[in-house]
Amino acid sequence: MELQLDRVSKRFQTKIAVDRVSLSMGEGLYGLLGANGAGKTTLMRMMAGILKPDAGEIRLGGREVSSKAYRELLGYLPQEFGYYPSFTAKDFLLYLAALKGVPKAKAREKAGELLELVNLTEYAGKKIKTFSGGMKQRLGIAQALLNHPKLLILDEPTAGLDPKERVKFRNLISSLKKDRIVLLSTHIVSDIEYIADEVLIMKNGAILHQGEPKRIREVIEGKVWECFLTREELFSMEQEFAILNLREEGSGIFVRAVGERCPKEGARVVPATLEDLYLYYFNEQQGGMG
Amino acid sequence: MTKILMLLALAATVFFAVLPLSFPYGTVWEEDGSTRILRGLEGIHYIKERQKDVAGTVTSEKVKQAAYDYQSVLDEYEAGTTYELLDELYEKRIRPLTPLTNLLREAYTDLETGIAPSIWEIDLESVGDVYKVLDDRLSTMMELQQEGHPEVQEQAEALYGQVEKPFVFYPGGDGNLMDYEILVAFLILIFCVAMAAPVFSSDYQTGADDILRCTKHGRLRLGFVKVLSALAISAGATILCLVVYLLISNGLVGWEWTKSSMQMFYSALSLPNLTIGELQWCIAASGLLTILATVGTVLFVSSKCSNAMVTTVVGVFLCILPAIANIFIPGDAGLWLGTILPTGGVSLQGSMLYALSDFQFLHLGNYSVWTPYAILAFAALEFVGFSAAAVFSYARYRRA
Repeated sequence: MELQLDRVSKRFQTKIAVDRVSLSMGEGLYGLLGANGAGKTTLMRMMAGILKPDAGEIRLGGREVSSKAYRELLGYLPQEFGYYPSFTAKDFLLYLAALKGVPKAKAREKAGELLELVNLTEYAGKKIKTFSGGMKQRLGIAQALLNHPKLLILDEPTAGLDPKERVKFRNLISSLKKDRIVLLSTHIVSDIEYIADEVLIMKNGAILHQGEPKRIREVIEGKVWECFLTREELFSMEQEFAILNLREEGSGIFVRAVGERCPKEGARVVPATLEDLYLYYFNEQQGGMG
Repeated sequence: MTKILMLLALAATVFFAVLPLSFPYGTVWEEDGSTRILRGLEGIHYIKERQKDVAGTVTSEKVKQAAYDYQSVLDEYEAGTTYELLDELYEKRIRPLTPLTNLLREAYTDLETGIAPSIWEIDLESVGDVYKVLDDRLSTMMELQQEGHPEVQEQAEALYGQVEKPFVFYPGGDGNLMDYEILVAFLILIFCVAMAAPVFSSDYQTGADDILRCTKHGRLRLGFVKVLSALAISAGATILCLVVYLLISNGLVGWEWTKSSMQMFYSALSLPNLTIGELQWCIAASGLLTILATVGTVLFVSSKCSNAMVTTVVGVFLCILPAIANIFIPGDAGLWLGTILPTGGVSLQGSMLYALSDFQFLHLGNYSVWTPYAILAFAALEFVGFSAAAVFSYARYRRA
């Protein structure tokens, strides 16, 4: 099954949040990487059918985004959403299962399975208001999987989680990519660096790059430099190079930067990482729609 | 939240069913000259006992006889007015007659000034059939009040012609019981508005809607189920509370009272052919329709608004708007607004009770309609229209 976006655009008053995005995605895990305000959430909300695109088309296996047939194949975890605090985890899943058209008898079985998958079995009867952020996110994943979706959209699912929970969550997501399209948005590179089959880099509402993490890094391969600079040298270098990292060491400053040419004699080329690429693209702060 | 609101509504219902029963009172003179005030059920029992001779069918002859008895007490004690009588005498011999003599007074009310004559001012020898006098009175009053609307006069005369006469009177209750029934309906209305306001808005506000909307049945079907649930809960709460109210109040006063003609407790010229019991059920039924219409309207607002607090404020404002319209907007405009609004049926200043006991008609060109009919028609339209609109509005809602 393939998800296809054809010149999808969305504008909020004068701000273009998504600008003629065309994509094609087959089964696998896709990491949508972009700074806050890049347009990731707007794009995902359009893919989830919550926002209507101003222009363009979104289809999953030929099914139009606003159709019931599309929603039958969709699992969605928004960046932030309201859980019903007085519901228990199990009741919440059964409620969503009913809305997703899962037969009643099967819903109980499925809810049990998913609570086990997300490691919440022992909290099945507890009210959601007693859950930590990580538990809520895991419950969010469980609800998204209730209808065995072919398209799973996860909007910044690791936001607000501590590092340990984030690793757990990352592993869980990685296990879900079989036989389905999983699209995961984040601005944290490590969330997707090792689990995504493909990375999409989004900036100012447009997809700048799409490809395997290894291939996408090639954009800056051979352009990442490390060297020691004085303060004056650093000042002049900032005009021409994207500074990825710097730290004071003794009388000098250790700098990691991206640029077309060697910044200084003695500087050495180092292997590029996805984070380098991210920082290269999102060096400047952006505002606007998320 | 819904459970708490409904329990509060039920508790308020019981309270307001019992409260007006504490108002009636009777004064008993002891042998030593001291007085004792009887209140509550004791007072009601005393009043029923005192008026048992005038209870039953109120024939024209019975009315005239009551007036003769009234006048003979004055003659016997050589009093020009009742103010010259001792309290004890008034309480024992005059007051029990007043439900009947008031009919006569209304029949001879000065239509220019609205002042009713005292019984001692009426020449009883010239009084013919009291009900014929009332019929003529209505025609004259409608001519004066509805000048230029002959169709209204015809409608009013036709309605009054259907009123069963002679009237029937059984003591026990009074108009307070119907006023408090309206108050109970108004309280349920507020509770139902508070319950319905967040139905959609709250999910928009918390973001819960984002997940619901992505599900197979999360739009039209969910919207339909939510609207239906809110209406069912509102209807259930309204029926329960109003039935409890009527059972408690009539049960304590005595069901015989409900057989009385409405005209014996409101204007003798009141147009509906209703007993007190039927009037109570009419108020309850129109209260139910009003509450459903209002809940439908609030659900529609909720389906459009992403702030539950704003929706609640709009809903509560809608509840008090008819009262504001009646107080601050004079003439037909205020009447139209109070009638059109879905909350008009249980408004504190212009409810179905006032509409039934009043003589107001809405005019649109040459067409006129009696306000109780208009209130019911608008409420029915709003109930169906806004409920359906809420479902479709929710299904189509997209957050910016």
